[in-house]
Amino acid sequence: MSNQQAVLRIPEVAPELKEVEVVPEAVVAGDHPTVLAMADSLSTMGISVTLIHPYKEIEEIVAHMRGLMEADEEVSKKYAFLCEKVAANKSIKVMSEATVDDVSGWWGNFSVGILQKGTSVTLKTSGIAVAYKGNPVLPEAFSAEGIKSFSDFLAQFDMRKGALKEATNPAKRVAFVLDVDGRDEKWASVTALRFGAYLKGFGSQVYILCRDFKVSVDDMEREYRLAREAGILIFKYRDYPRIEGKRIIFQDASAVSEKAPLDVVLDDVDAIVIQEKVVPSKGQEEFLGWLKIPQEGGFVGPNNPQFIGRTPKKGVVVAGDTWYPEYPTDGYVTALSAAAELYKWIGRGTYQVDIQRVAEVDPSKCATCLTCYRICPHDSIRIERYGERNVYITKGEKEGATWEAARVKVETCNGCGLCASECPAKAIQLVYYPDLEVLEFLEKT
Amino acid sequence: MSDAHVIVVGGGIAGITCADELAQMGIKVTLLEKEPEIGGWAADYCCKATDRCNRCYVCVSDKERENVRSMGEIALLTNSRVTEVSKNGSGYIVKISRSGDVEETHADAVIFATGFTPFDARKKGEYGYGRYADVLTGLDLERMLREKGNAFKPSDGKVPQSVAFIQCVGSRDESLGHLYCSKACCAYALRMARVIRNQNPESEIYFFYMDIQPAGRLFDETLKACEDDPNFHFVRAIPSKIYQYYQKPGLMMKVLNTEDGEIEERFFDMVVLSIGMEPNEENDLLWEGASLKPGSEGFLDPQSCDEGIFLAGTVSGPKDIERSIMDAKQTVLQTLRYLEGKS
Amino acid sequence: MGRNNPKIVAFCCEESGMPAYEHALSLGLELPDDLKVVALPCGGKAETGYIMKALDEGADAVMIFACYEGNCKYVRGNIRAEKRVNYLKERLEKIGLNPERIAFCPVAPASGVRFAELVRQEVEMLREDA
Repeated sequence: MSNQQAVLRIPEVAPELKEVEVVPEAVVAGDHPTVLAMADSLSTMGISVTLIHPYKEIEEIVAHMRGLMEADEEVSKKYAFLCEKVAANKSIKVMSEATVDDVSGWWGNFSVGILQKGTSVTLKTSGIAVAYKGNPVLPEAFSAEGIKSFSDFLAQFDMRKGALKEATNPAKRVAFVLDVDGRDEKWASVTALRFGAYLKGFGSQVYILCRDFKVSVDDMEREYRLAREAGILIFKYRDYPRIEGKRIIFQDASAVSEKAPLDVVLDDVDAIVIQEKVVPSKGQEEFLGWLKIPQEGGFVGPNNPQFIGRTPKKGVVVAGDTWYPEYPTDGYVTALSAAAELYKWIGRGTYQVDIQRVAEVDPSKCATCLTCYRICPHDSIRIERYGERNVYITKGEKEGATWEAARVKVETCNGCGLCASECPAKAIQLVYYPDLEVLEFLEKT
Repeated sequence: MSDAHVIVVGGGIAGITCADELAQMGIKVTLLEKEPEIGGWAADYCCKATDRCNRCYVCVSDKERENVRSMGEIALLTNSRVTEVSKNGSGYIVKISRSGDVEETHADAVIFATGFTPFDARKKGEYGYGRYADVLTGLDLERMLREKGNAFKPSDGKVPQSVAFIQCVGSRDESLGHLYCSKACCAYALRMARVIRNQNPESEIYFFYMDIQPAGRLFDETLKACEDDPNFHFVRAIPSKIYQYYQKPGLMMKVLNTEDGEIEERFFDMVVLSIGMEPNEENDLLWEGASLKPGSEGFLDPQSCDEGIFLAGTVSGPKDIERSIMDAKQTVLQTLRYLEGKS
Repeated sequence: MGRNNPKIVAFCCEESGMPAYEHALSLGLELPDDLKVVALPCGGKAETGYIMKALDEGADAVMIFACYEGNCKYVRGNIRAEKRVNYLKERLEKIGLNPERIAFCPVAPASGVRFAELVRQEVEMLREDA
């Protein structure tokens, strides 16, 4: 054994460059506050941005976060001025009361169907950034009367009197119950602690019940200590707490002995706030479906480490809950990195794409079975009309086309060869690495 | 903007990402690395897949490193350090010392991606790191799994049967003045523990922790897989001492038994200390010229930077690989925005 | 078939299998000389035709080194490859051949040790089989 293996490497073919013009314009759509961050940063980079949001006023995009802004200075620093900034920025075109109801096309040439107050408009654009808000869902076991979910609580909270809007006095005892459904999300720990500290200022007693307290956010460990010193009671429960009216009963997991468990009963709790699970909104699922962006459970987020801050579809980036539910300060970083990724693809005006490292279809063999269309991970194959048989497809369309075959969009093809390997008619070949080379190598050696 | 020159200090995953993204935007980039090779700490980490990818992002860092190395557009200076940064007109003069020679270069913007220093486990003397061969740090285990593919006891080269992971070594520790969570340790320790379980089905894992910190989506899956594993024991207690009996193999540990509340002695073949991140020990050398100021935990405060100076990655606070890459990308956007404003 | 030195063809994904092979070389691990390495842009490019051609040309085993599930640069290439391998294994069994002659092996770019170990296991299996 001397490590003298025969190796066939992917041939290094000199790139054949094709100039592609991409107009620096983008559609930023969605109802999550991070759309403001993306619209603002893309616009300051000289990209003409169209902001599409479903509300009457831009301010409503951050309305649900007002309470949090009051309680957390960092959030306020990042989001409070964004509304004014975006509203004052004349180069951002804002379409209010509008939603995206269809998207198609490729990088540099998307067409976005928009429904605005009952009328449909179609926009041509080079790149798309979306951030939808997820739907908070209360776990079924907890949907009893008097129990509030986090978002209800924050929305109905009156910051001036430190109480719920329907109540006249500040809530005397408030309990936040976390980690009831999954333990992936850390936004609720942060929100509960910062909001709890704020409530403390009104003289309320605050309890936080969780499985693990999440401190993996900037400054959280310090705040966690300060909060405990200030008298916020943080419990770690063993099994899910039982809620009976205004009473919460659970076993304390930090009690030293499992054999003699410590039962804790919290009585007369005025407000019980349960962490809800954030599930993707319908708009978000539809959007991802139109563009064939892979998702697990409706989120694009870190399902696959190869896609950090981007999607497999060139020219489309996501942030907000479409990426993954995050605490607003973390979500801000996600939004900016998504904007950076989009800027890379639409900010430069002209791009050179290598038309060697792509797949190509031999239209004379193509049986239009749609296999390649279905499996292309970058959504860059369409069925198109050709002028005549055997016309080399990447050299441009013919007029008066009558005959259909698959066509690879060279601008967005990454040359992975998945289509070539699955094509039942063997009509697709990689330009830079044809089948023949592999087969010859296997024969020769 | 096109003739602008940006110096990226530090060739870890954040620095590499910055250099790559800036070069793709057609900006002249110089990447400085004090070591002979780029890659930073992540170059020593191991893949933590079991039967499927567990999303540790180490392969992303491996690929990005190769990518940058082969990219002609980036001027790569290894064995180089920044000795001084001084303002000059609208840009900066950066003094670079490279194997004894000092060079001066002009840069329109400087990105510091100088990273973190792993916590020195010797500072927690009670765990006997450095004294007992079978007490490892998380970093040692990463290197071992990367180079040997499996965990072996350093003392005799055998596969360990019982392994203890101690979390929060150097993090969340007031006695050290470290009032912060290092964010990455729970995730890497759990994932490596699963690798050990996967490789040695007989082995037993004890996981001593305070609170488990999630690392992104689908982390719950990893956590559930650990909890469902009968040989995986979660203990919410931090051990107080590790010691050895004279001429006897194995490690003894003083730890609370959470079943009956008594302090007991436990035996382990191997102990892994999940060390956290400390602010880079060389941070203070950078403060003066670039007017960088430490935040509350000793990590640099991005808001204190002069215009034209940017921070990326763990230099501004603990982050895992994914968040470092995200942070680097948003730093690139800020840098571009700054350069755009200048021209 | 010289079963003492079985011939193995390894189809390696450019993203994981190839770097793993090179990592194995850089660590100085021993790999059989009768190993043929074919780089592919993605594990999913290892088409049925390639695998059958390799067996046809006298390979004792075909190994496909691709990325772990959930880590494919092209989203689902590795899953496609795995499904294809499972299908081909079924076919081999039907015509009376050892289905273990085709193997799907997920690796990471930096797991040269695992690469060498998987090849060693395959060689051992083939020797026992002979």
